[in-house]
Amino acid sequence: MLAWGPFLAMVIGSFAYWAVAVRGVMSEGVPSRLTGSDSTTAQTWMANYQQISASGDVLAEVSLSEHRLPVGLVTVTLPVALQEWINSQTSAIDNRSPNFNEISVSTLLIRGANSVVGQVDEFSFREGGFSHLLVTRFGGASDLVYDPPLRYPTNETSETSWEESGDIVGLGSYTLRVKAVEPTSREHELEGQVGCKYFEVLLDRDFHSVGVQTTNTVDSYCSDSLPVSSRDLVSGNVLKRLPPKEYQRTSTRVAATTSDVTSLGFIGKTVPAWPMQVKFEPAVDKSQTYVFDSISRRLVAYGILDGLVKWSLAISPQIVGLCGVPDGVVLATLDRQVIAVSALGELRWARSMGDVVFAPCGNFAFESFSVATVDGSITSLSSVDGTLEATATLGFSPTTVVRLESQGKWRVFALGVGGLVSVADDRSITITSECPADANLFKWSSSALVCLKSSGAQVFDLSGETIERFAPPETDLIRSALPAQPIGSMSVQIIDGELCASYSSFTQTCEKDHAYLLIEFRGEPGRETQLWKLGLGSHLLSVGQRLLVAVNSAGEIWRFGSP
Amino acid sequence: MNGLGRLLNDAFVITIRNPIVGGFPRLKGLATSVQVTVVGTLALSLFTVVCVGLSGVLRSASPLLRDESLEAVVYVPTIALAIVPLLTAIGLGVVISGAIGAPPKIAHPVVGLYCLLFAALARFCRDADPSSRTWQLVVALTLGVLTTFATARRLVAARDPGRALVIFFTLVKMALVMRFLTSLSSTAEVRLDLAVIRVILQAIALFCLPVVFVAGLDAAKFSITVANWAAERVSRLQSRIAIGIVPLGVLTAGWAMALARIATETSVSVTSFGWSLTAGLVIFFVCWRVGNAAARAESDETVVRSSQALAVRVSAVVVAVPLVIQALGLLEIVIGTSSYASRNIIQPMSAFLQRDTLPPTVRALLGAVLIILVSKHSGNPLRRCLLFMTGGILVTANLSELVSTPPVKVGVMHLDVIVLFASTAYLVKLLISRRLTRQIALTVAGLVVLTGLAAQNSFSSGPLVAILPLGGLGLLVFGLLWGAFTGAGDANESSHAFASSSRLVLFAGYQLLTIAVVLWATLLREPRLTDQLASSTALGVRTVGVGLLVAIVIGHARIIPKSEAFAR
Repeated sequence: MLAWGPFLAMVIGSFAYWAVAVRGVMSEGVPSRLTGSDSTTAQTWMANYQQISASGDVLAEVSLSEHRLPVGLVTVTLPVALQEWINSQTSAIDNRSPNFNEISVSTLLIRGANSVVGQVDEFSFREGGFSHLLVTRFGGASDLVYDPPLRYPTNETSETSWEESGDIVGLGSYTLRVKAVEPTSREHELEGQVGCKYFEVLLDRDFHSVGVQTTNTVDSYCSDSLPVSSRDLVSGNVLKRLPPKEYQRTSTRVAATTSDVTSLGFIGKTVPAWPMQVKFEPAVDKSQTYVFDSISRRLVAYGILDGLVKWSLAISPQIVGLCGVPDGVVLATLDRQVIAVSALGELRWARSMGDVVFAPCGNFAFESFSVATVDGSITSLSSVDGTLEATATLGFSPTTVVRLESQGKWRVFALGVGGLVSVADDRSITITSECPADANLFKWSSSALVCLKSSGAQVFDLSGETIERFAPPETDLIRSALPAQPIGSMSVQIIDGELCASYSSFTQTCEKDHAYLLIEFRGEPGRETQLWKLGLGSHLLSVGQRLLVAVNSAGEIWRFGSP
Repeated sequence: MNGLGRLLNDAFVITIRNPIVGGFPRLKGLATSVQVTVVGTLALSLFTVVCVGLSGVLRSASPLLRDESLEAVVYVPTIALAIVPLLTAIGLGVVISGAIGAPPKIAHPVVGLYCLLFAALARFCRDADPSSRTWQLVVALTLGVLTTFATARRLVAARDPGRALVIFFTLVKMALVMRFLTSLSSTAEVRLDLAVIRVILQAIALFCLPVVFVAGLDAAKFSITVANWAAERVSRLQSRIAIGIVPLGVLTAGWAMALARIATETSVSVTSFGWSLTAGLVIFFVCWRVGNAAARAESDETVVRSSQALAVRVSAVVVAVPLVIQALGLLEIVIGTSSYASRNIIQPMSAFLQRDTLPPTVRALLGAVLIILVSKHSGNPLRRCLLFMTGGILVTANLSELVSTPPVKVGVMHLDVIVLFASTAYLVKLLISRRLTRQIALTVAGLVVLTGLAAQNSFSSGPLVAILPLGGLGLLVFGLLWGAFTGAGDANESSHAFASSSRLVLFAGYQLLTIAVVLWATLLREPRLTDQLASSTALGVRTVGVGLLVAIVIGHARIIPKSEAFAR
């Protein structure tokens, strides 16, 4: 028996290990505080509505989304006084109970004539089957706090009527009257929906400054947790659910050349509306910049020219990367999906991939984009509907992926332990033996690529052919110009304070540990160089056709453009 | 059909059965406790290899976690976090139990690294939450392991329970650490358990690099055995027609393949190829002179055995610098990165060791030492040949890296060209002087087959490449697997100071640790770790593997009647 001791120690020890440690790892999985509930998926969190006037005119299009987020993540976007108030309200509750530590966030995007005209965020705190509206935000400008919280009906409400009144903190008082009603006309009944409940909701808000405002609606609650239809009794407007939109494929745009960009002027700077942390490289499309805030887990769209917030969306699956496509943004998620969101903030399509997608997508001028997965594949997808255009297996996990595009053709280069492998739009796969795994790969222009290795540097073109070689003495010059991104004949680069100080003309302005944006003529250091201080932290850069966007980790955005 | 059957049987016996019979861990006569430990650990290694093979399935079935605690971002499947630390803990426990019976020069470093690892883990736990008891428990259990270890070393009677106890304590410690870190991770933004286990496995990976290096040689040994078998079949051909055609065919095919390879190679860099070929020629010529005295009766097996012993020693030096850096890194964690000693002693030392020029210098020096050993020692000529070739490859490759000329990397390909050229010249010379016999032609053809087959890509990528798409790790996995069944040659030996019972347990434990690291790298798809492992394997193939091939080639060339030697 003693002789079997070591073996028994292995077996019993393993069981003990399993019982003590492994079950914890497996059950914790993704910690709930970071991801929120998994019950909402990308497919379910958006719905389209139209606002129709009493005479039948379409007033606006509305998209409504719901997703659950932990309290901490929602309140962090609010003013400090409000955060404190919410925290004081929720601290009394046993927050270890899974039902309690969540706030449901509903976002309404109201669009008239295809542009965003307003935004309403509702933060409601769910307790059992009841929904208590805590805070109503209108476009982030005026934040109202109801004490006690508004008690709105839900589809699980069993009471037929109630009346409550209280304070609108610091601004006035309110009275809420809710009454279950029978549908009075066909327009309240929704096709294909059963078991719906209808409530007439009358909210009187008596503001000290402007007097009484009354909203009176009939809301329908079906199996969805959100009101699926709401009729404004005062104006007669109806909010009605529409079938999901279908997107038509538009003609392929030809990539614009950027070679005529000879100067970049400062357009403006945007300061974020709430404290942000930007971890992932932002994305741009032709009209907007997309920034993902890791604190509130919101995707925020800014107008590229005016710098204003167009919309924001809380995303439920954890985001690990984003990139611009012609009319919107593509998000890579931790649950191995690629999700496309339109420029108007609507879900276009979602596609499951074999593994997490981590590579940049390429130039947004194309309606196809390429993604590399961690398990070693390169896939080209249509940004319009997510259809697969080409895919290739690398056999290794790539460390660097670069996409070159020119005159309607593209080729994706991936470097990893297997060397340099490239995939073209005609699905041909080429292995370039001249760029070893320990080399560094850089994009030189939209149609050329540099492989920097110990024995020199080599420039490849779109077809994978070598167009230039540099031996060691010349390599240093190439190396110094490489981290920069090309935008026309300009070269843009983020440098740290130390490197900045090495430029003799900027010695005075450079601070250690700060990042700077350096814009200069490609290959002509010193000529009409511009330097912009971006602030602390890691700083990210996103380049469009004629526009340059620099975002720092606090979410501040600098915009530059060529005239 | 009967002929084919015999051929396959012959192939099986020579390439698979004989190496396994010679190199399988010999368990007979050992204590039951040792037997069960070795068999259990090897079975676990085999299970881990299966997991490596199924890593794609395991990864896609498991939810992912994002970790950016080290430089590169990785996506970690939770299954990796569940099983790899467990396998690592078992491996560590088995290694420490094996060290109980080892001589001090083996036991002390093993115990030192073991304590360093758990001290680092305890420190991580203390930093995460100083008020928690976990780190104190880990320290107490590590002291328990040390006490048990010391007692069992002195009292032979206490060895069996001692072995059991150290394995059990190691598992309990790892369980406590993982449990504690996971429970913290559910409330923190950063997955602490993931960050810590990445650091620990990175360290273990470096401690395992010698095993990885030897695995490269093990894989090369298999390829050489296969090529050698084919070569011997060719030189033993009896049929008259075959004797006429085979040498001509082999030479033509050999040249065709060599020229194709030369074309690809020179398209990258003509100078690099030229220098490598020249260096290869010089080293090979000296090897030839050194191996001149090789007796006909000398078998390949003695060379294979000495190559293995050489690989263990070479690997220890080759990975010495990164190993010391890693040990210093752990020490820094234990005493705190901002402490006085860290900032003023450890960090400057690490900075010095991390200079790019240091590893090539150390390797070049090692090569020089090997070459000096050849001139000092008389003894088995083929073993000296192996030493010289390995030393020559190390010196040329690393010196060229130091002076940053085009890389001079003497490889199988250059060797193939040299052997082809020499063989052709030799045959032509004999043909002109009308001294060419059929037997000589066949023996030379056999040599060309040997180097030609070895120069194929499969020599440097291993037979698993076709089955498992693991990038550069296929060779390593094959080498480890093959090594587990055939590489116990030295471990089977026994001496009073270092009994085979202890050697075998250490061998099995290290195998398991290494395969666990490989499983971690494949489940995470981590390019840096994968590259580190794959390049160390390739280094084993490129240095000692090529040296072994040359020794075998020269040994075979000596079979050609002495009077006809072509290198005079």
